[in-house]
Amino acid sequence: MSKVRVMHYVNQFFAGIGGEAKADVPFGCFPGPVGPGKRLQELLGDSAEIVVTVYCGDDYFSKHLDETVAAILQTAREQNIQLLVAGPAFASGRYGFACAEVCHAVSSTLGLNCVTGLHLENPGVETYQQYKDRMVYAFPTTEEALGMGAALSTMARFVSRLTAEASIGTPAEEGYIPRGFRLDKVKSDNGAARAVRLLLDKIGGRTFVSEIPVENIEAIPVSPPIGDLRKACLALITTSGVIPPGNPDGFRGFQNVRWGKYSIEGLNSMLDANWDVLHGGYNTDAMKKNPNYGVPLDICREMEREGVFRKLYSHFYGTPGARGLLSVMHQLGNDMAFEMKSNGVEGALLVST
Amino acid sequence: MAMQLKVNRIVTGTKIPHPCGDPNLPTEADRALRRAIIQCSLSALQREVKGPTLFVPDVTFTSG
Repeated sequence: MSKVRVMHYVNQFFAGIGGEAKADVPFGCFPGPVGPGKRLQELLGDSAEIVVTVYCGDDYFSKHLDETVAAILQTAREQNIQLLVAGPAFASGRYGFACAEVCHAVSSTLGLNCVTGLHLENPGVETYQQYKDRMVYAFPTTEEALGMGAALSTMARFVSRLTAEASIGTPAEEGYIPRGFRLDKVKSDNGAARAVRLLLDKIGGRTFVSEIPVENIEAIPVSPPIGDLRKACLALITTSGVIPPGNPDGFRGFQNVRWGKYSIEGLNSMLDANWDVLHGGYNTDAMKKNPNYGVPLDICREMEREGVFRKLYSHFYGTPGARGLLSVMHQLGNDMAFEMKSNGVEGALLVST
Repeated sequence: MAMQLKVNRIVTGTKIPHPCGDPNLPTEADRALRRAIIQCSLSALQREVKGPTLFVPDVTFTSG
């Protein structure tokens, strides 16, 4: 059996180029294993061969991401690479970010398995969990490079499983950091029986493992209050699914990945124009009859005239919010907020159904 | 749910299918309810909060 051809990504330090002073060295490569790659090669034995080591300065990588990734992909193609190992980067933020980005690029573009090592608090973990690539596996490491030996053993053992084409199990079984998606699995007993057993274990004080762990949601930075509302421009947002007739932006009833903004200029109430309501999560009859329930334009115009606030922004923003993925919704919210700020909006009312 | 998602300023609405108002009320009462909810939201925008905070409009929600 021929050896699986592996590419190893390291930063300038582990490539032996230099420390912080050399963080701006551009992409480069060496034939064969270098630095930690030498130990990795020993651990991989005959199953795989590190044919090329690619490196980049940590600063250079983040400043020239597209160009560096393109060069790495080019090298992988030229060398007929079959698998990528990146790092381990431990708690080093820029290095961890680079490892996560390189893994994502190689996996999504070339369809290859990628293995990296990151400390759980490395910002690269967030990048890894955002991409959710099914063929990228990051293993938890210590904070410092002192844990190099253990990290390389874990990664090498897993690489050997990949090269042996073993069927890969869950994060709990394999030890890699969860990427944040669910895997289908056939069980012998049905959901009701499993749920009751979980509940009994919980009540009985026994250990139990949920099949669907609750997402760990981070706190959102608090915006300061609006000082003088009478001087503020406000915008309306809705996730109720109020959209222009005919759904010109092609929204779906659920799991949308886009948002729209629609003019309400010259309207005193949502009843002054025609709207559709598209939402896969609630009975939209009342909303269709009176979209002011989701975009309270009638009252907001009244208050605008009274001078309660200075101005209502010319458009309302929206996306039908049924079954949205949290990561996607974060992105849509960020994009909307950015757009609003650039249009002078100082506050927003979001009506959620 | 908004609390679980850690939204910082949350205002109680009427019901999921009609958060701002109540179609079971006569038009004027429906508008008054909507106005109370918006008013509460505007005061929430002007309040300093430290984390997820629930604001309840000064109304009685009657919808069944």
